[in-house]
Amino acid sequence: MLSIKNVHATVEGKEILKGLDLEIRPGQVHAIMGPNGSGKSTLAKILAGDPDYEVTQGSVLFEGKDLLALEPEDRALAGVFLAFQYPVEIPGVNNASFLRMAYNARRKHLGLPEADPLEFDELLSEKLAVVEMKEDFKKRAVNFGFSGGEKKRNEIVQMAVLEPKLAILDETDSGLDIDALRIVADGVNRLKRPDSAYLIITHYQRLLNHIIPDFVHVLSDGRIVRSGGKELALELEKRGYEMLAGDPS
Amino acid sequence: MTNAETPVFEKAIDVFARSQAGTTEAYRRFKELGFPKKNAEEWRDFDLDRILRSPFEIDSCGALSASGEKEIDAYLCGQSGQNRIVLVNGLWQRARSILSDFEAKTLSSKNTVDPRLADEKNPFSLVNAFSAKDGVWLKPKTTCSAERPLYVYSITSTHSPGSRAAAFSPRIEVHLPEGSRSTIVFVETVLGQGSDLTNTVFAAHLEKGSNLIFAHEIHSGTGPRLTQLRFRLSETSRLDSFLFQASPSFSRTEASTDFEGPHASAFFNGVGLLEKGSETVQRWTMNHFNSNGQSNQYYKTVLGGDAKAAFGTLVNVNSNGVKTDSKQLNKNLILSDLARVISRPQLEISIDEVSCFHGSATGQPSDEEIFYLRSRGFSERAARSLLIEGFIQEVFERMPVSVSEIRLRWASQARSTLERLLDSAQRSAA
Repeated sequence: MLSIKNVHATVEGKEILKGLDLEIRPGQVHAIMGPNGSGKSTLAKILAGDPDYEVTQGSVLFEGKDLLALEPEDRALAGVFLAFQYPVEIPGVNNASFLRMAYNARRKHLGLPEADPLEFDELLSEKLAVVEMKEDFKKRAVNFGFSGGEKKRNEIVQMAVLEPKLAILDETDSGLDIDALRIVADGVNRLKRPDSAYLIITHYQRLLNHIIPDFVHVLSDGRIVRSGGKELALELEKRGYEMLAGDPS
Repeated sequence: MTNAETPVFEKAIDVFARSQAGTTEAYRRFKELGFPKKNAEEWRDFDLDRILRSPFEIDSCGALSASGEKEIDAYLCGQSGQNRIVLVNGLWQRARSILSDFEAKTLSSKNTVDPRLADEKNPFSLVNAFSAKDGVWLKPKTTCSAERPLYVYSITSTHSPGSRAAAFSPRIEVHLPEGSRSTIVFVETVLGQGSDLTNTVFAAHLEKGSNLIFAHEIHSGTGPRLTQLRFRLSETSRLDSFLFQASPSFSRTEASTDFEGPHASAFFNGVGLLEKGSETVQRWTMNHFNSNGQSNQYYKTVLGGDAKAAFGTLVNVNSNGVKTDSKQLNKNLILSDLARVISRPQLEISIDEVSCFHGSATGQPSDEEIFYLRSRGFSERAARSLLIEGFIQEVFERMPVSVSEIRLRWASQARSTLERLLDSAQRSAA
């Protein structure tokens, strides 16, 4: 599904990713862990197409197509979804309208008929239940006046509505209390499909107690320096990222 | 100012005044006051010379050409079933008005004795007072007419047969009795492409405990436009005002509200969408002359091309205005490097026991916001459009149910204007 080869990327002229390789297949859950500044969020941003980030070398194929050649909106329509670390507030635009427009744009792209407001309202109610959000959420402006936890849950609602093939969760666990973390993780687990994949970016192992990854990768200084199964996350939790200095693999 | 420096427009005013029988109090007061100097605080952001140096002829007969008459009929034919009063070039058009919930009387300039004229500081308001030939005075027949809005159309038809540009003076005065509830939709529009000046006064007196929802829609033409709104609030009365301005060419709107009784409140909300060539000034003044008054001003502008906007507010709390609570907020979204906006919130407070806040913010849609929306499948253009719509929607959302039809109409007009603004921004970027 996703094939990243020798990717180098810069932001404001500074090289952050320095030759990153990663393969993700349908149905897999990959976790990326790493210390601050290692390039985790940069990876998320270049996959989603943030214009502030420049890929200077390497390739990214998504379902065999050159992902880097696509505009951000075309990547979204193709099925790439980024759950933001810091979701943006959009005052004056209510969640229901916003999500219906996004949903219908994707339906149109897939050659499917657009959903009318009533039809979509029912669908949205189902998706809200996934992350235990109240109905009044529909009328509220996108992320505006939301608590940190509500914003993160809203990202999962959007993911649930848009049903992406590849979902990238950029530190979705940061700022969540234990209960909210469980709700978000349960939601993600319920949304897993055999034809979709997850790339979960996190600092901490605690999210991976709830969403069990097939693979854990450690990113350091712009490269994946170690990969393993879920036990790697436990090891990192125990020994910290300092273990990488004396234990490269 | 010496005679040699007398502005062309003032000479036209003098000619008009001499042609009238007797000299009115308003004219005397106007001559005392004169037109403002360029450095006058209240007029500093407005190019007054564009009016003063133009030879407008004071027009109090409002004669219309046949094509003008047809255009007005065509404009109004889509507004059937409305409770409405129509003024064309300042004259009350009885045949085109449909009044059921309000009583209306002619407001002859000779009979107009506004006790506040002596305090009037805007010379254009005084010019309006003595040149308004056939203004209208309105009063609700019952104390509860809020459910059905009264539409007040003030149409400037620039198809007048005269060769010189004219100056029209529409004048509307509204009296809301104690405990009454009314909704008024005031639509100012220009039909035709002439360069006539429209100098309007809308004044409302809210008696004790009365409520007014006031939706004000402005569509200017190629000529200049000045609108003076005057509100007097008695004890516990409440005013909710909503302004929507789409692409005014050259205009100034001045709203002055006097809190004459305690516990009165006024909430002003507005949206301006300015395209290339637009130049507009908003000047909103709240005079808290009594205790426990509450005022709130919230105005947003979206500017494209080389549009210029100035938003000036003054909250004046005198020694009687204890426990006044006032907020002013102005936000502007700029879509072009050439657009300019000036925001001047001012407070003049004579006592301690008040709560006043003011703020202003001007910027462009952020790259972060645009990327967020693009990452959800919106094109860059659609993302910008959605962000701007959301920006102005915040004001529309404050509109009550009684004007929901207006809200929908404004939202639709806003969308069309935004499309043009975005087209223009896209062309400039290319």
